[in-house]
Amino acid sequence: MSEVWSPGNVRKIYTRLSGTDFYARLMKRPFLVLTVVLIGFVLVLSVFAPVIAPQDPNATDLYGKNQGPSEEHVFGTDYLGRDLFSRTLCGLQTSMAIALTTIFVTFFIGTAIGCYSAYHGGWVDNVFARIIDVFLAFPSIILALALITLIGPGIFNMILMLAVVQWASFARLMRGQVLSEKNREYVQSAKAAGLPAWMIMVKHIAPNCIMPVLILATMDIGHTILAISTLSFLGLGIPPSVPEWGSMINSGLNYMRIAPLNVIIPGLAITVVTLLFNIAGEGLRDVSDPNSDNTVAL
Amino acid sequence: MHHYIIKRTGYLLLTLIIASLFTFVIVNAIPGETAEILTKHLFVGIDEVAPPEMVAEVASRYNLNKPLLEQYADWVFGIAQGDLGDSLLFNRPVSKLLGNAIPPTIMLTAVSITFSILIGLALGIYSALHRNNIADHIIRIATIFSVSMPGFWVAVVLILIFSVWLGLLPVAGYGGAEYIILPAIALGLHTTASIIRIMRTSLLDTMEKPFVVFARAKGLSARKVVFGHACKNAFLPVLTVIGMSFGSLLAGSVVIESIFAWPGIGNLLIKAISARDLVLIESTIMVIVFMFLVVNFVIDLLYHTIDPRITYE
Repeated sequence: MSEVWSPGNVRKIYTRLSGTDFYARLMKRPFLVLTVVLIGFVLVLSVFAPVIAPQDPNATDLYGKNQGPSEEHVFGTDYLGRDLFSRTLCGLQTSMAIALTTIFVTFFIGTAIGCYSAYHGGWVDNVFARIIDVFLAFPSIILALALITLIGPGIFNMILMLAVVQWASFARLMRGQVLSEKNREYVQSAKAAGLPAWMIMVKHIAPNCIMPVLILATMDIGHTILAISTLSFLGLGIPPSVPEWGSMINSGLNYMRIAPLNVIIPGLAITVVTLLFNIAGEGLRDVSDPNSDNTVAL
Repeated sequence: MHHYIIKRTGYLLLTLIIASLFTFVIVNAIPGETAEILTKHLFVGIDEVAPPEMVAEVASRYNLNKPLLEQYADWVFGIAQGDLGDSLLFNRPVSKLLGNAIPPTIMLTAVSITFSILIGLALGIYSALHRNNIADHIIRIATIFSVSMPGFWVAVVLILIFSVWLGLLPVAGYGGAEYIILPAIALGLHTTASIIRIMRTSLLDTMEKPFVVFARAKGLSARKVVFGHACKNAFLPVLTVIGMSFGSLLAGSVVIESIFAWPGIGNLLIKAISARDLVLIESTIMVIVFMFLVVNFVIDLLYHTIDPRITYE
């Protein structure tokens, strides 16, 4: 997807996005509007998941293990007799909470470093550019696995790790933006007015560069959800007591002959949520760039 | 061109050095007393008290008494001499373990990427040429679904359908051709979908270029225009995607290999991480990063061969 996110391309998107006909074009795509509404629905669902869940996601029932769907358990139960539907619903909360926190942290760190590096220029910029390159040279899950060795599993560690893995792409994008912006007249005059560097960066440059990075952040949510579930599936992410889709699939593996829903349902949940964010992200890009023709035309 | 190759090689080496330093620091900078934590992990259990003499032995085994920089220098010199140390987990030289693990991974990745490219190009071209008809819509819906599905789940569902329910293919293992089918599909699905998408977009883009319009106008057959003129020019973005995909294939193989018990590098890395076998972890990660960097290096040079207009300045 990153071929779409070359700095030039993204700048084009930004220009289009800030155009007045953005909403008009958005409204011409009812399917995209529907997707955005569905994402809103998913977010609400994730906030209220423990309230909506018909049963306690961690209540075990050793006499009702690995059951098929019934009136009491819509999707059946897992290997400890826990209600699969409730666990999947609460898994949504886990995924969304971690994914959104990660994106928030990543966005902040990446933007700050990219902005500082480009604004400062000189050897500082050279060093940061090299560091960013090295981070991007690692296949991301490999870097995540290396970090797991260092800090061990856990929810907080997972957020930290994903942030370390992903900040570089945000930093690169922001750096490119600031580089093209920092010689504009308004920056010169702010400097001439004697404003401190941090204020020029935060108040003047950042607002003009931030939009493409915000779009990248939106697009990255689906990616992060996949990464979270993959690490949990490997048993390197979240403690087993917390309902999480990846670890649910992992624990369902041994019983998939008798209770296949335990591996199917959480995977479907991952797919649907990721799909929503992917469609929305690409739709947003298409709306902002009418020439591209990439989404499912529905 | 030669100047560029030299510059690019230097850059490759620099990245490798930084990456190795980085890997080494990450793996070795365990908070707290490294030797003690390692002893607990390897021998006595994480909640037990590690006997001091055991800790001392582990420390000397892993050279943990030396300063970190000296440990790093030892490791790099070891690599230069082909000696990667011994794995505590398997009690064998790391170089032997890696030597056994690299061929299966290369085989899986190669099969996977070959089929991804063939299917991806075919469906991508088909989709572009039949723009907005029903097949095009189906292909596009299928691709966006494919990139939204986690690879490990695809693997699990494939096992469920083809091994558990239908009994057609083995669940896991390594051997004849029947063993490679499911892991290759699970590994290559994302890549196939990305190639279809980028090929379609790129070809549609190219078809509107003046030289294609000219070729049509001078009366060349549609087949000649598409395959002789448009496709070659549309291929460049696809090459970039293939290069990037190689990284995600290597990364994906970590998960896929451990699901299918495929005896490759990814599987080795997961085992090493669960056992905290530091020597094995750092070397395995370096091998993966090295393969990734080299492939991207080669692809970088290929650009010029495919499109002579590109100069490296």
